[in-house]
Amino acid sequence: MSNVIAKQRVLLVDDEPAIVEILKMRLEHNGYEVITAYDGQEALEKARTLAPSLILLDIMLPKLDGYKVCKLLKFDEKYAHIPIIMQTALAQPEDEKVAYESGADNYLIKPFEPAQLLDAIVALLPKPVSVS
Amino acid sequence: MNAVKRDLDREDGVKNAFMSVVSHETQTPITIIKESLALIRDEIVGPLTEKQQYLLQIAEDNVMRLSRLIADMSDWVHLQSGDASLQRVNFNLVFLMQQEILKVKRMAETKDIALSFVNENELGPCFISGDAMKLDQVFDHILKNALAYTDPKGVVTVDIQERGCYFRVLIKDSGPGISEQDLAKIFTPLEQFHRTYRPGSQGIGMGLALCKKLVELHGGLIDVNSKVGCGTEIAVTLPKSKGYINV
Repeated sequence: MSNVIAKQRVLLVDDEPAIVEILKMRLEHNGYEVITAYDGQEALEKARTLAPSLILLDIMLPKLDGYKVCKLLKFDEKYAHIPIIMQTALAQPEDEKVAYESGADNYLIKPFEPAQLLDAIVALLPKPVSVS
Repeated sequence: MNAVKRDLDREDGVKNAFMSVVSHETQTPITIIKESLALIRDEIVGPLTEKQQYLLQIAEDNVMRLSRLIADMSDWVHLQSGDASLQRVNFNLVFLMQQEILKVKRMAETKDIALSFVNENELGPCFISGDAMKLDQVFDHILKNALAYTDPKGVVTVDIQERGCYFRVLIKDSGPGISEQDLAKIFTPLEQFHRTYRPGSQGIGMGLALCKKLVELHGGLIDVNSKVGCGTEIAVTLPKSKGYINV
């Protein structure tokens, strides 16, 4: 009987299509299943229905900003367990403070190194489980 | 007089707002360029020839340069507008310098530069009260500069010394050194001095001016000793955390 490692699903949220495309490529190359959303509303719906293992969330998003998306998920016990990494061009300490107050688990400032992103994801995800 | 001051303040405000928007709006395109180049470099989209690798390295060095320039601009705007505050915590300077060295280890290895923390094993904890993120920015800049200006097979060292109520961090490089004329304006913002071009080493002359402001915000001092042909030594002196001063 062969063991298959269950792929961990990352919900990638950014309103910039090029960012979504290149980060998706990087994450898929590193073995993650990637689902995408381009605004806050879509992010919230996909987080609630598609059970991502982790969310990579931009802050400045149309319809609903990243802080609100983060709060709505983290203050709902059904979804509070999903780790959220904010990735943003907002580089000031006060932005970071608001992100953590909204419940973010980590905060990455653009532009970041691929290794920084992958390390942050690995640190927050549970170890992959073997499915027989 | 008041009208002139008001006009100048307004002009400064417009300038700072403009720089702030520019620095923020450039982060996304820079991220896209950086990550696209990284995907190519990591051969995720196919194997590279030697020539392509060489050109890619030039592109990556220059994106890094652009990225640093914009980050410095953004920080300068914040310091100038007076809204820079310190999030002070007590932390061990030895640990911070170990992390700094780890971060630039790859850069040193790529250039075959011997990078070391000379008295790491003899030091006890060196606690200071400071903003770890801002001091990280200072030491990151100084170390990267030292590595950028040092030729392959050169030497960069880090050393921490105790001086009464202060700790002194010394970063020395075996680079080309700085002339007396350039040393005089090394901390003047927007002053470019003439050191030989090295990838990643050029800026608009904001980096060290910014470091000086950040160190001074901590009640510290930064000074430079250098002579053409004899390398450069940058010393950052920071007050000890009050609870940790040995009497």
